[in-house]
Amino acid sequence: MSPSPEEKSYAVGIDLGTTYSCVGVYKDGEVQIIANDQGNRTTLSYVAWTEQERLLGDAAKNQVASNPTNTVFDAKRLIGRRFDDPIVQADLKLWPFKVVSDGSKDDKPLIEVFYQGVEKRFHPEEISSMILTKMKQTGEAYLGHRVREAVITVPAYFNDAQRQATKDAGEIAGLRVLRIVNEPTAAAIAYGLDKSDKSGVAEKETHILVFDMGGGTFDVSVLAIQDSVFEVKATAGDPHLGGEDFDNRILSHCIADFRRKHQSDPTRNQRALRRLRTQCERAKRLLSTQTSVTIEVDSLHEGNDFSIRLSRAKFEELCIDYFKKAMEPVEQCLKDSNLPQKAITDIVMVGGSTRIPKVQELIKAFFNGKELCKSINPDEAVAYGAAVQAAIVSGQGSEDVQNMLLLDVAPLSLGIETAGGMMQVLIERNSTVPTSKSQDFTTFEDYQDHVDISVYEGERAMVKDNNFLGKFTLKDIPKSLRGVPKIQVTFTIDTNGILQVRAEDAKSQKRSEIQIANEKGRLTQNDIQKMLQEAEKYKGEDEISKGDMLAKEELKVYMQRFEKGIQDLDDTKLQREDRERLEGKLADAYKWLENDGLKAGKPEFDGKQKELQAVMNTVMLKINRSQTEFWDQQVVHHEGEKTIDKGGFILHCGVDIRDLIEDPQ
Amino acid sequence: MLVDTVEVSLDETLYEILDLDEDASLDDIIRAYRQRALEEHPDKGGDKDRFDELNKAYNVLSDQQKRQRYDEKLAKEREREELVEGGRAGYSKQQLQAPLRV
Repeated sequence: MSPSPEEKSYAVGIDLGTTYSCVGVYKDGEVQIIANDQGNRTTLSYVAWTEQERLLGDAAKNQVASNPTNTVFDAKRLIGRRFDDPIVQADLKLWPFKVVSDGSKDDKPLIEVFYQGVEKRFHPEEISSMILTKMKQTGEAYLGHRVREAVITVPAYFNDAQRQATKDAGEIAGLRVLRIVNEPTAAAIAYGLDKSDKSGVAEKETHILVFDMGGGTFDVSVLAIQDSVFEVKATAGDPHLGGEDFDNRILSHCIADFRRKHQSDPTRNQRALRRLRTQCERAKRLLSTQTSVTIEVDSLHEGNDFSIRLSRAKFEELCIDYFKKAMEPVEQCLKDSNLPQKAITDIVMVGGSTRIPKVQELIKAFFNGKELCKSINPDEAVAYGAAVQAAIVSGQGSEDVQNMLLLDVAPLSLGIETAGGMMQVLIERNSTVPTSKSQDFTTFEDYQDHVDISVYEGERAMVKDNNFLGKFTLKDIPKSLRGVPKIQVTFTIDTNGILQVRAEDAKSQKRSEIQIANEKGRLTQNDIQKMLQEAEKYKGEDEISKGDMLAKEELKVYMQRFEKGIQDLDDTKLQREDRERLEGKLADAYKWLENDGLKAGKPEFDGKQKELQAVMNTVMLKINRSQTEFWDQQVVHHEGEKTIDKGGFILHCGVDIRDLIEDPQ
Repeated sequence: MLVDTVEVSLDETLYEILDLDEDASLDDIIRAYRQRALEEHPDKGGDKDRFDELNKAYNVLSDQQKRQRYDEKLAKEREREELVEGGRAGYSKQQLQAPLRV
C-alpha cells in the first residue's frame, strides 16, 4: 500500500467547511491555496445527483434550483450526530433534501437522493468524503502528483463522535488522515506566520484570541504564541452557529412577508425555497458593505413575484440573539485561559460571518474598542494553517516549519458515571493533548463478575445533563468480595482529540477497550470499507464519464476528417449520389451530436463513428474496387454484422448495410 | 481542583520534570515548559507519556494557587519522609543517584 518511492506524494491541508471548503499545500517554502477547476479558491461543500451523473462542489450548487431534492449540503451539520438529535430535527425542516433514520439502535441519519432513477442513501460521512475527494482532486490537478495524505480541520468545539466521523470521511475519500486539527488553531498558525514574516520571529510572548465564525460553526480559542510554539490556552464555542442560521432568519422573515402579501404559503415548494434562500444569502453578504438591499424573486410561488427591502438594521434585529449568544464563548474562553482581558494582544477574525459589521462591533465593544486584526484572509486562513500542519507532521516543510509546534487542547471534559448519576471527570476540558488519565474503581456487590462503565463528555455535574458517549462492560472479573477487585480505567486522548477508553482488572489483567464512538453510531471499520468500495465505484463512474468524453472527442475528430475527405474527392471519382449520401450522413451525425450526443456515452459515440466509417468505407471501396469484389468482401469484412433472415446484413450500430451500397444486380 | 489528585512524588518532583529550580518564576516555568515541549511532543519524536507528565507538571506550576498547594504538600511529604526514614528529604532523585553514576 505504501507509495512507490519514485512517485512523489504531497500532504495537503483541507478546511472542510459547512458551506465552503478550501485546500492548501506547503510547497517550496510557502503555502499555496489551490484554486479548483472553476478557478475558485474555495469550493462549495455541495454534492448533487442528476439523471446522468454525480456533481461535486460549485457544479452541484449551480443546478440546485432545478434539482433541489437531490442536491445535498450541510453534511457537517449532520456528521457525528444522531437522527433524533434536536438540532438535526430542527435543521431537517429547512433542508430541501430528505434525511431519514437508519432505523438501528444507533439512529444514524441517512441522506436520501434519487440517482439514475434509483433511491440511494448516504451517511453524512460519505457526503463529506465526496467533498474531500473533490478537494483531493483539486490538489492533484495543481500538483500533478497523487495526494494521499491530509490534515483535515474541524471546529475546536467538535465532540469526540464528530471528530471520529470526520476522520472516517477522510478514510472513505482514500486519504490517510495525518491529523485532525482545530480550525481556530490552524487560523492562529496563519496569523502567526503572517506576523513573523512582517516583524521577524516574535521573541516576546503574545496572546491572541481567534474568533472563528463560519457558515455553520463557531469557535473561540485563546493562544499564547512564543517563538515557534503555539500553545492553545483554552477553547470554547458552539458547534451549531453560523452564517446559515442568519440566512434562515432572513428566509423566515421573507416567507412571513410573502404569506401576508399573497395569502399563500411557499414553504412546501422546495424550488421556491431554494431560490429565495439563495437571494437571502446574497442579501446578507451585501449588507456587510451596504446599508440596505432588495431581495427579489420573480414568480416565486403560484405565479406571484416577491420583492422586499431589507435594511442592515432589520437584519441585525432578526439575528441579534445569535450575535449576542456568540459573546458567551468569548467570555468563557477568556476565563478558562486565566488571562485578563488586557493580556490579549490581537483579536483574529476568521470565517465568512466575521464580515458582518454587527459581529465586529460587538466583539470590539467586548474588548473596550480594541481594533480587530483583519490582515489574514478569513476564508483561507484555516486551510493555510492546515497546510502548514500537514508539512510539519509529514516532515515536508522547511526548517522554519519543522521547528514549529502546536500544543492543542481537548474542548470538553471527559468522565464516567459514578454512584448517583454523578459525573466523575477524568480529563478536564482544555487539557493539552495527547493526554491520559487513569483511575481505580471497584465492585459494589459481592462476587460481581462484570462492571459496566458509561462514558460521558460535558461540563455538568450530573451525567444526564452531559453527552453520553458510550458504555462498555468489563467481563469475567475473578469472583471476590465487594470492594476487593481493583479496576483501572484509563482515558487516552490522542493528538486528534479522539478518546480511547481502556479498563483493566489488576488481578486478572483482563482488559477491555473501546473505541467510544462505536457505541453511539460511529461507523464500523466494515462500514468504512464498504463505503470506500462505493467511493471507488464512483471513481469508476467518473472514469467512465471521462471515457465518454474521449469517445466524443474521437468522433468529432473523425467527423472533421470525414468532411475533409468528401471535399478532397473530386466529381470524377465520387458520384453525385454518393456525395449526397455522405454529406447527408455527416449532417445527420452533427445533428445527433447536438441533441442525443448530450447524454450519450462511449458505446453510442463509438457506434456513431463506426456508422460513419462504414459509409465512408463502402464509398471508398466502390471507388477503388470492382463491385463484385466489394460485395464479397463486405460479407466477411465487418465486425459486428449479423445475418437477418431477409438475406441482408445489419451492423451492430443499427445500420443496414443494404442502405449504404447499391445492390450489384 | 485537580491538584488534590496530583500525587506528590519525591522520586521526581514537578520541578524536576520541567528541569527547574523550586524558586523559579512564572516566566521561567513557561519558558522551560515550551523548551521541553519542543523536545517531548510526539510530533517531535518525543514520548507521549513523558509529554503528558510535562503537561501535568506545567498545569500545576503555572497556576499560582495550584502551585502553592503543591509546594505545601511537597514540604509535608519531605517532612514525613524525614521522620519515617530519617533523612532522604531535601535530596532529589538525581542527587541520590549521583554517587552511583560515578
